[in-house]
Parts: sequence; structure tokens; C-alpha cells
Amino acid sequence: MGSCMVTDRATSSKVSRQHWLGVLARAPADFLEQHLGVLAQGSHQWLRPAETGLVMVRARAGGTGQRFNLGEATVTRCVVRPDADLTGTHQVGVGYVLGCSHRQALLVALADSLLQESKLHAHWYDVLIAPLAHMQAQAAAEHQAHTQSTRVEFFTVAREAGTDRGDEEDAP
Amino acid sequence: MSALSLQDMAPGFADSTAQSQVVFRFALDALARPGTPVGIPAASLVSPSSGICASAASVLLALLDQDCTLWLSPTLANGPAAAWLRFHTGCRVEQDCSKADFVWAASIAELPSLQGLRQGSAEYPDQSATCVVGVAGWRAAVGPENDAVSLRGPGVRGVITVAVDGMDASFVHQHHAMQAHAPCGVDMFFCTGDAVLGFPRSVRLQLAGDVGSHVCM
Repeated sequence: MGSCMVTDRATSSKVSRQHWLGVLARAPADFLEQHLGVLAQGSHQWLRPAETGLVMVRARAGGTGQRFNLGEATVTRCVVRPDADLTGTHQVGVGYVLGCSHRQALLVALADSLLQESKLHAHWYDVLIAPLAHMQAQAAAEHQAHTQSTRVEFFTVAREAGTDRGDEEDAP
Repeated sequence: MSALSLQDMAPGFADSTAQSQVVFRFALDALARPGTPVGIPAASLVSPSSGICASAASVLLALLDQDCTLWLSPTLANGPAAAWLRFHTGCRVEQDCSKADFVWAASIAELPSLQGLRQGSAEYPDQSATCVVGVAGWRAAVGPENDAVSLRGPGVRGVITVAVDGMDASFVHQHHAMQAHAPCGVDMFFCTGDAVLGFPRSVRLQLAGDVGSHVCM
């Protein structure tokens, strides 16, 4: 959370929406349920009912190698126009989550819709995104510190440099 | 191609599996019985906006998927139709009608020349275009009327004579010219309100007023 997030609050620009959708996609389901469970009860209009499918996750070895297909991940998505009387938002929300919980995808879409509504944005940003982003940044920092503590420097062996060529092992 | 924000997007099928199967079944019936109108149940009719023919929209929603390309006539291309179908089906919108798998025209007047559409090949006649055309309506014609066409061929017992609004001699001649290349050719759905009239490539058309050139086949 930099200062740019504060200036972006009023104008929910593309970048800040990407940020909160990323935070929401990683959010624990019970956290969303706790804050949005009541609002999810209304009669919402589904533009795209929740559906579960597979997406191909692609990666590069070391972040720089040749691109390869790491494997398929189960993703659930939905697009919903929430019940305006209950939620106070007229925006269409989009939810993408890992796994096959339709409920969690709905909760993310609902949160996205609330965050897009300018008069509700500040409240829901403080309730949902700020604490979640903080929690996620903390968890990432802890994980990184843990990994860093076991880092080994091989002084006698040249650190493997990233290369665009993925066929090094096969070369004679 | 108009950019329609998600904000104005109309819903598609509420139960996409069941409803697209229903519409698919009626579309099959329409092609299997050329010239016999098929009514799609209201529960399976959807449309991107009130001004757009619901039966045409529903047939395309049921048939299209992400491997399909779609060409839209100018009236439809300026409306929400393209964005709606792209959102719900994942199809790609094609600017060149000669490359499209599906052609959606708002009226017969806006339909490109049939010879200019994908005809398929002798090996793969199925790879031809499918046309969905909006019309104001049609009526069963009795006797030789100038604007009526008679249909013969597979799926028609004897002859069916129907007057489709906007269908003229030029269309019938184009259809004749197309049939010289059988089994290649385009299949057509004429749509109005909730009803669909199928004109598969195999149907033999004749202007009902054109009795002189009657050929009994």
C-alpha cells in the first residue's frame, strides 16, 4: 500500500481495481464471509453464473527461462449485478478465485461491486482491502525472511545464470 | 464493433446448459423441416436489448463458442450485440464476412451476397457459414403470390409456399447459384420475435409467381 493507493481511492482506476481484485482473490473465504455474508443473501442478477473451470498456469524457470506449462489450476469465476436495494451498489462485480467455491467467487464479485461504487469505496476499502493487503504483505515478508535465512552462497560454483535457452541440459 | 461496458451488459441464459440445449433442439428442428416455423419457448429466449430479435440472439447464443467467428451486419454491429455475444460465448467478431463462421444480419437487405460467404469445401462442406437473418415476419401463402417462394426438397412433404418479408427474386437467384456447388453452401435461419424458419442449403426455392419455369423435382 503506497501513497498512490490513497490518490487512486476517489477514481477507481484500472490499476487500483487490479490491485483490489488481486487482494480479494487471495483473501480467505471466512474473512469475506464474515464481512459480506449478509449482503450476499439478496437476489442478485447473474450476468455469468458461477462456473468452475481450468486455467493453464504458465511459468518460466528462474523467471527468465523458456516459458512452459506448469499445470492446470481450478478456477471459479462469476459476474454479478448485486441486489441494489440490499447492497447500495449499482456496479457489476467480477470474481475470480482459485478452487471450486462458487460462494467465494460471489463474495469477491460482491466486494468488487461495492469497491467500484464511489460513495461506498472508502468504507469497503478500509474494511476489506486495507487489512487484507496488510495481512498478505506480512505473510509474504515472513515467508521471504524464512526462506532468506536458509540462503546458501556457493562461492566455488558459479550461480546459474538465467538464459532464454531452455535446452541447456540436453546439449551434448 | 462497439465497446459495451459490463455495466450495460444484459444477462445470457440463466441456466446455460439446459436453455442452450432447448434452443439447439429447436434450431435443429427448423433446419430439418424447411419452411415450417418453429417457436422457441419464452423461457429460453434472451436478447442483448429490447430492439434486437430474441430468437436470433438466442440461436446464436446457443450455437457460438470461443472457436467461432461472427460477422454482424452494420445495424447490429453498432449496437450491443457484438459485445454481448463475445462476453457470453467467447466468440470472435470478424470484420470480413467472407471469413466468418456465422453471419448475423438484421434484415435480408443487410445480408451480404451468399456467394461472398464461406461455402465450405468438397471435403468439409460443414465448414461453411451459417446465416441468422432477422425478418419482420412471414405468412403461409396460398396460390401463386408475387412475393412468395415455394420450398421443395429434403424435409418438405410436397411443397410449402411461404411469403417472407423482404425476400425477393434476387435472393432466390443467389440461392439457386449457390446450389450449383452442392454439397457446399450456407444454411440459413430467418428469425422474427420468438420464431425461427430454417432454410438449409438443400432446400429448393422457386418464386411462387414464377410458374412458367416450374420444374417438378
